[in-house]
Amino acid sequence: MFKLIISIYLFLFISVSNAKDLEIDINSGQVEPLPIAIADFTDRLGEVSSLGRSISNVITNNLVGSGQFKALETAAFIAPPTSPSVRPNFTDWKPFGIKALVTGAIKTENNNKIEVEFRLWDVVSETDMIGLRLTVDKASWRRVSHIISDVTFERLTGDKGYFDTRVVYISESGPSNARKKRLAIMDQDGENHQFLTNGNFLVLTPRFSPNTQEITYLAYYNNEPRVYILNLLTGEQEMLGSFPGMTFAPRFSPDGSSIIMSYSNNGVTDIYTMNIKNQNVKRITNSPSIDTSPSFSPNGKQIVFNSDRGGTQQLYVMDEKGRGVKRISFGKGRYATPVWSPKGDLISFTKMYKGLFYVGVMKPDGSGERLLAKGYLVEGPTWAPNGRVLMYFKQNKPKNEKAGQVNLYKIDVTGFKELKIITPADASDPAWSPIIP
Amino acid sequence: MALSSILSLGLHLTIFLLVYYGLPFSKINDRKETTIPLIFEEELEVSNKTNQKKNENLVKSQKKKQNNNKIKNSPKPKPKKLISEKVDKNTEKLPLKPIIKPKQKIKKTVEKNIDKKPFKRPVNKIKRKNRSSSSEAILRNLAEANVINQKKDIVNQIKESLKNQNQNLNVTEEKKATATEIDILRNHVRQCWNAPYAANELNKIINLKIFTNPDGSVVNVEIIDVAFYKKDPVYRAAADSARRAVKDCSPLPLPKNKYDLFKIFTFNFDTSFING
Repeated sequence: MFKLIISIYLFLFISVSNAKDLEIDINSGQVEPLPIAIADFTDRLGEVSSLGRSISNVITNNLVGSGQFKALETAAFIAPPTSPSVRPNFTDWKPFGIKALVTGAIKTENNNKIEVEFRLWDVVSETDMIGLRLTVDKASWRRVSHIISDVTFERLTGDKGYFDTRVVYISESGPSNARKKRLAIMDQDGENHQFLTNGNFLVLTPRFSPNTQEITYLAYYNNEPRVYILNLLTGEQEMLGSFPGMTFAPRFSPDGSSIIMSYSNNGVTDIYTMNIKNQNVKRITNSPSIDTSPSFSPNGKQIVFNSDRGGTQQLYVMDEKGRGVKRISFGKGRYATPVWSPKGDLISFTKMYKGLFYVGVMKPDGSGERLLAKGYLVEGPTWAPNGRVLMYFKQNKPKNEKAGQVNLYKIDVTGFKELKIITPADASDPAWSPIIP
Repeated sequence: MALSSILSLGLHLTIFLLVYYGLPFSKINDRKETTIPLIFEEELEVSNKTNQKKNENLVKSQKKKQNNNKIKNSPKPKPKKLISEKVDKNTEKLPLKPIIKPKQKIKKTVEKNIDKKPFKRPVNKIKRKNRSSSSEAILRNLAEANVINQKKDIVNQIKESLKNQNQNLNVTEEKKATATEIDILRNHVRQCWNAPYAANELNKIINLKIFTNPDGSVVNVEIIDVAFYKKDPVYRAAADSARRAVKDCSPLPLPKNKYDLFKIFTFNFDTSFING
């Protein structure tokens, strides 16, 4: 008994006296593009095919375009591409500072189908991180490349990917006094371009539904603005109503059940919501000022909008019923077109200051304002579904009375990488889709 | 009567031990005393040859250390058994499941090869036995002094023990890492750390346990919170980046003659710097 008590005593004593290991805090580092190598995808015989090279190129462009990766040129590879089921020789990649490696293979099957397999490797830790195998129609190779990009992006950054998405925008052509505006859609990288309207009607401000493949947009029919909803899967188009006083874009609520918009009546512009099913309209703001460009927070509990109620055009936040209006922008210049990020952490906006336009982001409380892009005219920011990349349009300064070119650009929220999207004609007013189901 | 005597003895012994050792949590850690030799199990080793070499070196250095640390009259350490290395079979086989998809909807099969099970420290029975013997010696003396025959002089025992304790404390003080040494190591690692931007929303410190060789080379990096690593994609990506930083920075600039302190230690990576 005595020994037992003493033993317990000493055991406790020894346990406590075994103090923790030495701990060292690392509280700074870099946030820079991660060096990555994307090997050309091989075929059944281990040779690189043109399709394998194309898939590799799409993945490279996606990842580099995100601003979070820098890719090693294929020509610099000292090791030949290997099958994803073969463990690479990591020492071939380390001298280039490569941290991650993508290898892949394509197997052609019957009925014009291909099986695409890929694997992501951590070159430093010498381990495989994730793998994927897909069997698809050969024509869908580009989409497979986007899916592989998404998987790679998410595994290495922790953020959801956004490459398997589309963008709807306004394609513009013709002289400025007779501008033809058509609704068009494309992959987020500008490929698979398609026109949705023929240009007979002026179309404006397309917006994607947050959870379906539907678009809402404004079209002028007999000089009267109408709100339409277009289903991209079925091609069906529905007119929600005619609103002669509407001044700015209708935008979906986060659950997709209603739209929010500004409506001008008797010289007063206020914010309204409309239920899509029963088309009931509800007034949200009621002030003598001009309240426009409303956008819901992702949880639907708050609305950001711009208003001149304080004397100049500024950004304000209120709850979904129009209560507790609070100004959030206090920088120099005027602020407009706020859009709440799908992640909820940021609000993008357009800013006008000293004759220039800027696209920037700030936190919902107005702090942490950062300007990401500037130009003669920079407007219409739209968020990628992961809330990490913005797309907007930029117009060059007119030269010799000729309107400047209008192009779409995208930039990541770090502001690191701005990328121009190639379109068949001038392009404005982009709207990013959710992830394609 | 006997019971009350035992209780009284226990109480007195408690007070005596507290006076003798002080409060357990206020005691300075005696690393030399508590050193547990380790045999590392490489997390991602492919070549058995490389691992064997590393382990052999480690075992040699541990044995050498044990010889230096031998306590007089303590029993001879029993020969240790080496734990054989395991190769990650998943990594070698790379299995994937095919999925055939309809034209419009492409589903995907994603295989995540999450890191191996947590590193387990092998228990060093020899060391524990030494401790036990040492403890037993003290117990026996105390018991004899107070209850049985007072065969040994308790005062001499205490004096000797106190002398040993002071010696140990001096050793521990010498082995403390200085702020400069820590800063050198910290600066070295943070230059290698390229964190993903998404980690700005991470409200959790990434704790990595580092196992090093005497030359500063990193033997293994263990992500401590494996459960959260598997669950949270942002934490996972950030922890991977931290692990890459430590491995990229190998060998680490460890202070000389203080390997005991840096043989196993912890890096706490904090991503809050991303928000500025």
